[in-house]
Amino acid sequence: MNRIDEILEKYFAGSSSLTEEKELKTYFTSQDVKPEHEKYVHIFRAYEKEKNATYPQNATYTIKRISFKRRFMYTVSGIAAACLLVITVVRFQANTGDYMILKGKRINDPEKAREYANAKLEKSLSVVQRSLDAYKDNKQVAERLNEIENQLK
Amino acid sequence: MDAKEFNSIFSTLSDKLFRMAKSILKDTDEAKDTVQELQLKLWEKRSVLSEADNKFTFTLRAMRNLCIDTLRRKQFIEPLNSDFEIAGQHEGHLLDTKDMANYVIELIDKLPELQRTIIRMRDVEEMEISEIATVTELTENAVTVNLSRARAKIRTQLFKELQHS
Repeated sequence: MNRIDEILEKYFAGSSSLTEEKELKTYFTSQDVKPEHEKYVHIFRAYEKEKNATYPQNATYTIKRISFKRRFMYTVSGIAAACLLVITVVRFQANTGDYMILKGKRINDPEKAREYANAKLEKSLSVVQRSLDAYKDNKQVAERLNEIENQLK
Repeated sequence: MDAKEFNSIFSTLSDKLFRMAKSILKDTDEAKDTVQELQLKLWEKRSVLSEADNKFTFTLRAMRNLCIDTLRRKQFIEPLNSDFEIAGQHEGHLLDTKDMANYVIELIDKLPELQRTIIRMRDVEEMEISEIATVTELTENAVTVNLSRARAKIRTQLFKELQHS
């Protein structure tokens, strides 16, 4: 077994040193790669290629906006949950003999039905709130970046 | 820590931070934004940064955590630390030698987040195992195991593709 094969074995076991790995990189990016090693060349070329990706110095921050479709979905789900709550409460108050079917089970207790509706409403509202918070955060980040850019000049 | 010192640390690391963000988020624009977001956060917490023993690993760890938060915010389905086989193979078309390096990059992108971050920190950024362990908050042994698995997966898939070609 030659030296390159030895290092390759250690390399794939995760036990090679940085110095040994540099040796591999030098060998595989050279013109003297032996035919039996050619299949490994692509791996080391990929690493070299990846190294060329640099951070653009004039990068500007993008303010992301929530799409109309998404906002519409959030609003509709919020309204639907609110309606469900109102209907449940009103119907139970109007007729105490009423019941509700929840996951195939009959629920006669109005308190339980109200709890379920409340939980649904809270879940929907939290989704709407989260999306609005994300938008607000994002806008704040952009504004703060402008201030900091001036401080760092 | 003044603006000059901060700028010096950040600009030295910006390429590495950008590559890490790009690797985790798989989106160039999102990576640029996240690096800027990190710059803002670190500037606001520069007292913590100036006290850090190793500013290099501290900053990279902050970058990784911020990227993972971004992924979670976007409710990505990919399990962040799980170990699964590379999905979505190439559809049997022939690749020339020039494309093979790109194919390897695609294979790395298909690895679970932890493995692709580790393989890139080691093979692209040439970081010590101990530094990678600090950034990923794993033991050195766990880093070595993940690194070896990631490299083996890349080799297996690449050889399969070469056979088909």
